[in-house]
Amino acid sequence: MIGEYFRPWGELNWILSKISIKNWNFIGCLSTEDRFLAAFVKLNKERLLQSSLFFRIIDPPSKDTKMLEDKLNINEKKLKKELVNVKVEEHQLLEANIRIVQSIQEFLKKANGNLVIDISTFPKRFFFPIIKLLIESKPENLIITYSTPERYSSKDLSSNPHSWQHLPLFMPVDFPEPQIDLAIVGVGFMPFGLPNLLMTKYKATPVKFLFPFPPGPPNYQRTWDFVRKIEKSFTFNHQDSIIRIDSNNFPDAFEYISQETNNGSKNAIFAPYGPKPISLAMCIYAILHNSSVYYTQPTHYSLEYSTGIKDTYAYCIILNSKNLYLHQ
Amino acid sequence: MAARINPFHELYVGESIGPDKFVNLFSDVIVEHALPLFQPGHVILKGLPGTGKSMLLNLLKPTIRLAYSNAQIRFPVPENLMKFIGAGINLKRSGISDFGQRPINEADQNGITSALHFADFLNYWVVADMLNSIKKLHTESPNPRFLKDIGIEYTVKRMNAFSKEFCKMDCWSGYLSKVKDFNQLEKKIHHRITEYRAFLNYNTSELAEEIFRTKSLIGIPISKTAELLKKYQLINFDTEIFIRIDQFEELAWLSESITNLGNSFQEMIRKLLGLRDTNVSYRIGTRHFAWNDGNKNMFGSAARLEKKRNYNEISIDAVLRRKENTRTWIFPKFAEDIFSRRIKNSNYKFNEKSNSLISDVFGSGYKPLQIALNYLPNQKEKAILLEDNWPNKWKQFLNDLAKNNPLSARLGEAWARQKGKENILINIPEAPYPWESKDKIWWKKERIEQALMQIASRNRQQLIWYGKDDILGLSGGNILIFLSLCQHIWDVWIRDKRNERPEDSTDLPSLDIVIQSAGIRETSTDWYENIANEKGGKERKEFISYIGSLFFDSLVADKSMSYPGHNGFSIREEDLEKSDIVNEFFKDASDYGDLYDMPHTSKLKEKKARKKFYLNPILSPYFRIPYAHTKEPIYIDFKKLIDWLISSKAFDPSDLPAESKKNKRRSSQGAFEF
Repeated sequence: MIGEYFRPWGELNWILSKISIKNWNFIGCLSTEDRFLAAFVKLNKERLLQSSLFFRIIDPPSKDTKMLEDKLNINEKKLKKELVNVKVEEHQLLEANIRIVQSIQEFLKKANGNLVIDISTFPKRFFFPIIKLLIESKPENLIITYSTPERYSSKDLSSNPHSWQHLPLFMPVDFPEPQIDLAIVGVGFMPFGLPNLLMTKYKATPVKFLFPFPPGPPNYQRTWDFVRKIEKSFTFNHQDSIIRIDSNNFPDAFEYISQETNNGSKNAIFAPYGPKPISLAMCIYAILHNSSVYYTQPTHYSLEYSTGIKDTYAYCIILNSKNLYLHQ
Repeated sequence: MAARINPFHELYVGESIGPDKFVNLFSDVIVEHALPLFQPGHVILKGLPGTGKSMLLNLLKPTIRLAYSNAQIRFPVPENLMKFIGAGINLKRSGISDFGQRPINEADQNGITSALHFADFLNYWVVADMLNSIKKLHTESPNPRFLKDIGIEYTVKRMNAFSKEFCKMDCWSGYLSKVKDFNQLEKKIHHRITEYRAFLNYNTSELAEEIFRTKSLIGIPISKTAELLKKYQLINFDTEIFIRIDQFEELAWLSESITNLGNSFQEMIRKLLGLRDTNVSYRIGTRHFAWNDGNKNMFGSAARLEKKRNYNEISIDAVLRRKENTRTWIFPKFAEDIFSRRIKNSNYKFNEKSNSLISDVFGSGYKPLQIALNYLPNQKEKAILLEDNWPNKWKQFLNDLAKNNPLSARLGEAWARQKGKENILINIPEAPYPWESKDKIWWKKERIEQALMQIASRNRQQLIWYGKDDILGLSGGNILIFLSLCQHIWDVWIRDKRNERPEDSTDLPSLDIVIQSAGIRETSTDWYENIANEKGGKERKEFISYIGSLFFDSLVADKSMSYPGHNGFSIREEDLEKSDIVNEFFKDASDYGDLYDMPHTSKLKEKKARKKFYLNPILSPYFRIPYAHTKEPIYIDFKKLIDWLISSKAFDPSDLPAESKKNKRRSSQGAFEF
């Protein structure tokens, strides 16, 4: 229990059973993965949706473009079978930030202040700025949902990354830039240019790696490979630097970050690799403390990224206009 | 007891290490090949990642200049070129690439307003850094001589007088009009930069109207600031001001999200170089592809930038890559210097009089015969393959020879298989054998590596990589690869010794063949895996994987060793240019350092310009092929190239052009069917 707020999270159905709101405005991401529909279907079945918007995000042209579009078309049909008048907007993965902002501003104009965003299949380039915009709109209620898949592809989940860059709306603002006291990195499967970021920009900065635990086979191997790849060019002490965090326990990850930064008195930057709930903790913290977030944006995602749906979690961020993560 | 440490754990000597470490680890060998950086005039500094661009540009930074002075180490620039002040901007770190991500106003449909504000932001950032550099050099100066060498005569009185006139300059359009002294001046400039970043980050709803009204023109405030600093004698008239603009390539990628945005910003930077400003000199750090682009237009002008007239170019890769004439190849000296600096900064005891610490640690390598014997621990005859229809006498001869000299036997086997040399099957030679004779020295030399890889392959042995020559050769003129090789080999050694208590004395180790080969293979695998970590790397990795295996198969299958140069391929330049998508793919592969390309003087009658491509040498151990370039590469035409691109799965057939009719003719000499 932190501060004066209880931060509810758990299975979506359980959370919904505790909240009396019946008219949510939903944002999701139409994707090739099965889990993109999970939260939407649950809410729709209970007739709890007032409006819904799906981002259909297209990767830059590659040899998989045709197959990607075919798969998205199939899944769009599945989506429309659930709800005929669901709004689907096409977006380009690398589009200008203004496009994302305009979409959300339009959505918010018609929304009633009860917002749900499902981050299961959203690229970080989208869900980070979207959550920032949703929180800044001061909604009455904001819930974030996340579905885990049955399994991830054993092949590379993403490829062709850009070099490291801040995520949209998460750039450093102050000039001259203040000293960074801490870099917090989510451990995922593929670090891409992360070692380069740590080496060139934050060499002298202490780093904490949030290691999803227990990762379970076969992910165990891949997360340790991630650590090993970083270790090749960046020295750190395992015992002090690797922090094991439950992959789905977003409030715990947030609390760890808050404690480590002394609730914002230390300047931290983030590199959100790894499970989305841990990235979400970084996102919410960075919004509340104006921290910078860096990422090596892949420009190609595997068409077999994940299959199946395991659990669908919901995290309450704002309830009755109270931001549960804002320390008082 | 001291733990064994790896002196190469730190790979980069760029921006990542502190100034104090930099002065000890930076090698000045490269400076004399990059002197234009320290002379007046604009310079484009091109290079692959890790080749040393940032390392060189670091010399322009005040922190590094101060660190040399504090450490009482001579600043590694010729004395007559030391009188300069450096300032600049890193286009990636500054966030300047976010211009255009949020249009400055609704009227900005074509990005022109964004480009103008991009220029304004750059002006303010660079001016802030110029002022900061002078202040820093003055306040942290270790002695008056230091400031005299640079030509700084800073006093608070002069600075405040400068500030007064500075703020009234037309180029600011009144933005600084209310500023009273230098402190306020700094704050106001910083405030503008923060305002821009807050707007681009959507922290503010709009950009202050004041900023709209007071946009500055690209380069003008920078030039005027330099002029005024001299007028107020804050710096001497002969003190040069060098402005670093690093990571120019970042701009090239902006057009992926907004059409032509990156081009506009690049044109803006080119305009800086076109100003023919003698007050400041720009140094643009870039990867090759971003500057090689044919577009040399300048923003708002039909004029084009011209090399030599507007700027000079330095290509670090060209300086460091192996030349036909190895006597002019400076990389070995550069690597040796960097290696010895690493060792001297570690706790290992070494021979102060040694000519080559690299040789002390890695040895000078094995002779080819020693390597062959390593591949054949038991039956030396396994070096050769005999044909059933060969005369018994010849078979016996080769078998006997293999027992004493398996490498020579393998060369003899190839000799017998070559066209026109079949006579040898009947006329059994006596020493010196034809393939060992003086007039066939090149025939033998060109086939040694292929013979060794075939012997290893026939005996299911890993290739041996060992010694200074291999390490320098595999580095391919790239210092990051060299350091990476040293790092991996040292790590293998430390792992190997993990159960042995380190001795109190930490003598520099001499690393054996097993340790080195294992470390080199690890480095190669890493490098191969990392291809996919760069933009477009997924497709390049697929292609590299395909041709790497193809080269291996080709070299192994070539029993007569007629094609020892088939670890590379050659294609007409006009063929590459038939398709933009294909041409871009190969340009990228070269720019990211996955392939090495060079002009190819063909031995064909047809004298059309050709280019030859080889794998980055560090990938050779992964594919178990030699890294040396010898004889003729595989000649391919456009059709074959397309075939490779499709077979490798780097491209979908529908994305590639079909072969044009005029291109139907098969490639001729040296063509090898797969």
